[in-house]
Amino acid sequence: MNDPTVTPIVQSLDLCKQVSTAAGPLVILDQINLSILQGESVAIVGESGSGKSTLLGLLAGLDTPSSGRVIFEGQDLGSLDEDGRAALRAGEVGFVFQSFQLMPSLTALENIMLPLELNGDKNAEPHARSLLEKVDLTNRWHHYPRQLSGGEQQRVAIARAFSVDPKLLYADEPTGNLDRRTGQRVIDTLFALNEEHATTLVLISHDEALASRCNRLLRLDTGRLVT
Amino acid sequence: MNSRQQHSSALSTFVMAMTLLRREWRAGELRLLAFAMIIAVASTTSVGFFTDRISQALINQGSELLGGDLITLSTSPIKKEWIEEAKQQNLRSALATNFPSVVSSGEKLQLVDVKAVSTGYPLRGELKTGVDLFTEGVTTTSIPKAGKVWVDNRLISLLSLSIGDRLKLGASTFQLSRLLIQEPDRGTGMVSVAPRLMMNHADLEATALIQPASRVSYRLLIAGQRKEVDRYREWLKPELSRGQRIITSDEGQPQMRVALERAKRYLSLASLISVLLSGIAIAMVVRRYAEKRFNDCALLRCLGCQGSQITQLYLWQMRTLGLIAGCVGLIVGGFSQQGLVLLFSSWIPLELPLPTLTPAFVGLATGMIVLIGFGSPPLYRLQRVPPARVLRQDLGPPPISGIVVYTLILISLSLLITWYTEDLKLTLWVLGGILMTTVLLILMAQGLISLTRHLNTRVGISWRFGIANISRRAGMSTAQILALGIGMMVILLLTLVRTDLLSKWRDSLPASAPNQFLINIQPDQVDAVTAFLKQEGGVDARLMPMVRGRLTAINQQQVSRANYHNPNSRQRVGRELNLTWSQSLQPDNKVVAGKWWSDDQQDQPLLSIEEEFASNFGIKVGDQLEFQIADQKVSAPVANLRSVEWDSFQVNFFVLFSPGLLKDAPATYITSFYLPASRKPALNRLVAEFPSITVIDVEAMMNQVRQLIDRLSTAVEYVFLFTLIAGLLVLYAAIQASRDIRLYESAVLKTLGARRVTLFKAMAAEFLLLGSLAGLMAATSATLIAFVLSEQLFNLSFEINPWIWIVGTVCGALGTALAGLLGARSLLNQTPVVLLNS
Ligand SMILES: Nc1ncnc2c1ncn2[C@@H]1O[C@H](COP(=O)(O)OP(=O)(O)OP(=O)(O)O)[C@@H](O)[C@H]1O
Ligand SMILES: [Mg+2]
Repeated sequence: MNDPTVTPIVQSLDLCKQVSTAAGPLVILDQINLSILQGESVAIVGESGSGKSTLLGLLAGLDTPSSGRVIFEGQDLGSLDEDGRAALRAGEVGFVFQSFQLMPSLTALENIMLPLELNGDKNAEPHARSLLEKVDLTNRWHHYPRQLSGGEQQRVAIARAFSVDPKLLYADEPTGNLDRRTGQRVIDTLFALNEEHATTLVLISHDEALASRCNRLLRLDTGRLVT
Repeated sequence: MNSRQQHSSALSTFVMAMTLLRREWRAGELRLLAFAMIIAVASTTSVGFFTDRISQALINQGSELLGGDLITLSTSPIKKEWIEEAKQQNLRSALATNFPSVVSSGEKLQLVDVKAVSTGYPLRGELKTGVDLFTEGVTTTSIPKAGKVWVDNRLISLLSLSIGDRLKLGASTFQLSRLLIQEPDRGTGMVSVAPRLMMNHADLEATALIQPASRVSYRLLIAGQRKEVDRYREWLKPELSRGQRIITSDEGQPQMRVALERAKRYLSLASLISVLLSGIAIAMVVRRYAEKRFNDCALLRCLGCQGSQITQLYLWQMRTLGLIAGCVGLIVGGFSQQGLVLLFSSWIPLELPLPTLTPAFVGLATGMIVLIGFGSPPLYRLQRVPPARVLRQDLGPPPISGIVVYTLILISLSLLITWYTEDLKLTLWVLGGILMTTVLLILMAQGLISLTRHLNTRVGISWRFGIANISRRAGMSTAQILALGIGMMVILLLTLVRTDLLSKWRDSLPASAPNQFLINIQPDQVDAVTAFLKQEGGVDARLMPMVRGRLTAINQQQVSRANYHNPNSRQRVGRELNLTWSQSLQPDNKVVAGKWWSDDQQDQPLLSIEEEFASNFGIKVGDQLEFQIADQKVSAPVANLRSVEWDSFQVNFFVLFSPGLLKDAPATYITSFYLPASRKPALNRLVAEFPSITVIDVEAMMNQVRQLIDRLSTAVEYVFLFTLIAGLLVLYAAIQASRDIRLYESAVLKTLGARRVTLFKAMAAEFLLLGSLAGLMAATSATLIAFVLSEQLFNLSFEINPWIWIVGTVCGALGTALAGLLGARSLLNQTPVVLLNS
């Protein structure tokens, strides 16, 4: 991936995260340097508690590091406040979470429309409907999340993530709460859409098989990158 | 973001807020909020509309005492154009011309006060006539026909007349056709010394009694819609010349006004308490609502939402819901106001204008202030939910600073209270009371909760678990006990204390309050009248001297109209006042500043002034006042200020002198006493024996006041219903507050194998204990508040009611347990699967 025409979309420099606990300071991430290039798909693997989710949160600007920097599209996230980082994410970054994180009070369709409407998209509804079709949930559009199975909820979440056509997609163990077969189907949907939209993908998983479908693999071990 | 995008996103924020609101409404959580808002608005508007209309009714009553809404007094004949103009402006008008004259019947002559009236008189109030002395009489809408006269009982006794007799007045002869029993406007202006003769205005010229030099008082009576009357007054003012004056009915009767003022206070306090309780309910609902939105907000942040956008998203939901619920509240308030008016329907005059829109505006504004003051702090927390919460559930927004919350609540509270009481002192009182109570309740709650830690020894596992829950969730428990306690306290106050206070008010006008006034008693008749009353009426009357005089100077400064802005004081400037002197203070008077004169001071010139009169004129203790009495100037320092119970029906004076100072001034005496109906004939003998004395029977007016108080106190009870509902709302919200934690915990316990009955017992134990603690606190604070209220505000002696603790604790425990378990029923039946879905 040394193609000079491809620029890093997100980059971390000496990224550290440390929290204070009752038993003293706890280092969660230690000196993480990485860069993720436009268009590539990267898997982050590691044992439970190795700091994967924490790293993803920092890269996406959901959380702030103790030291070090995150550069997203040439912007130092550390120079922005919470709102500034949110503005940067709007329409550029998509998420898929282990626990789906759908708005319980909105229907499947409305959940997909949500990021579009936040961006002031006038054609939110037809757009969202076409995405529902792609994740095979056309006739479930009026159902609320609690009326859908885990796999279906995750497909709605994937459709929502792609609705704004993001440049970068973060997925934190998208199949973690699903059985193998359902997980497989969700992953297929994810990769299919990723291909179609040519999105940069950062995928967290401790499933090595799943990770191997990505272009590149980063391994975390107790807060350190080991590749 | 560029500005176009920003604009469209502001719009979409609103659209999204509405979408969410619709969904959340269906989920049911927000209904409690809407309900609280409806109660707040409905109770304020119904009270507002109602007092508005009753005040109007009182003004109309004042009109009855004048015979019209607006009276023009003149020493010269009323101009034709004035009557024309009144007709033009859609107003009714009538003339009343008064003058002293002499009437003769056979050999006998008698000085009378003639009143010639034109058709339509009286425009307000009732004219009653009859054929027998001292009877009720019947209301009439006519006036004496041409050639006929009506006279009062005094003239009948003085001339030994009977119906049908002929009377000679000036150049005409009249036939006595009826006995005049009640004239609405008898009591105003100069008290007539002579008996009354009423005749038709059309007969006036023929009598040839009105000569350029005669002492005639002309009156033009006007009545109609308030707006038109006001317009007419504006038109008339510049037309007036010397010796002409306008009187309007705005002041009403003092006794009625006092009763209404008191009722207004009760009513606004009642609605204020409902508003506060609704506020508490709103605060709890919104807090819970907000906490359940943390996940949504974290997600929205991930999707790029700005913090302010999130706040707006939820504020818009709240505002819209508040506005809709507020409008529903307005409608409810409008209807219940109509219910209140029905209570008064026989009493309120027909021409009562519809309520103004002000109360509607005030009600809605009150609701919005409460909603924003109590409801928005938790929503401002939402914008600080860290987006990383999507990855770690334990991350929440930092708690909002207590200072911010309390200032917001405090500001909205003081705003509301000041607005309602229109009285800074009372505001501070109520505000201080609320703060003290809250602090006391919090301390009590915390103390009791820490006590429960030591309470868990010998009981079964589920009971122990339930009781331990209370101290384990100390923060939540404090809030719950506090809310439960406040709700129960208000309910206890309403049920147990209210009746005492209201019956005290009802008794404030006892059956033995004076119903007869005697005026114009001459100094040489004092002993004879006192003896007569003692013997024939069985009353110990206290005859008070009365001297007429004008206040001319305060501290050597001339009193002139230009020095006063207050219309009340302006009106009184230059008017003749009734002055009296006394050695002792009347029992219904209280010295509020300075000191009452002692026995050895009685020859010193000293003054005692009624407090309101003093404040109208800016008079303080120590000021030197100068009065013009007959052709003398009398001056004395103010020794004290007095408060007077104007609604006691005792004879009272604004200005009281120490004895000695006025001894030589021309005085007449006045007294009031209670005479049972069976003794009324004694009055006949009294007027026969002392023809110069005027008897004023105020029985009818007192009954009116009694009726008013009676109905107003019913109205207060009615409005308390809102308060009761608001109190129950708070209880409900308090129980709901811990539902989510319970849901989660019981699911966890079930997965660990806890049986339903165990969970049920644990919950029952917890609710029983919470409820009894809250009940205990409620009883204590209700007793304290009742004590302060009765001792400080109502001058009632206070008795501790031990039942309040038993009732409070037992009902509190059972009620809370019942409501809590009913609410938790679904929760017990829930399978632990909720854990997987969360
Ligand atoms: N705010 C925090 N306070 C205390 N400990 C934290 C905090 N955030 C993360 N940790 C700890 O840091 C470690 C890494 O957490 P993280 O969630 O990143 O792991 P993970 O690799 O995503 O694990 P999993 O595969 O189980 O999701 C964990 O031990 C976690 O308990
Ligand atoms: Mg993780």
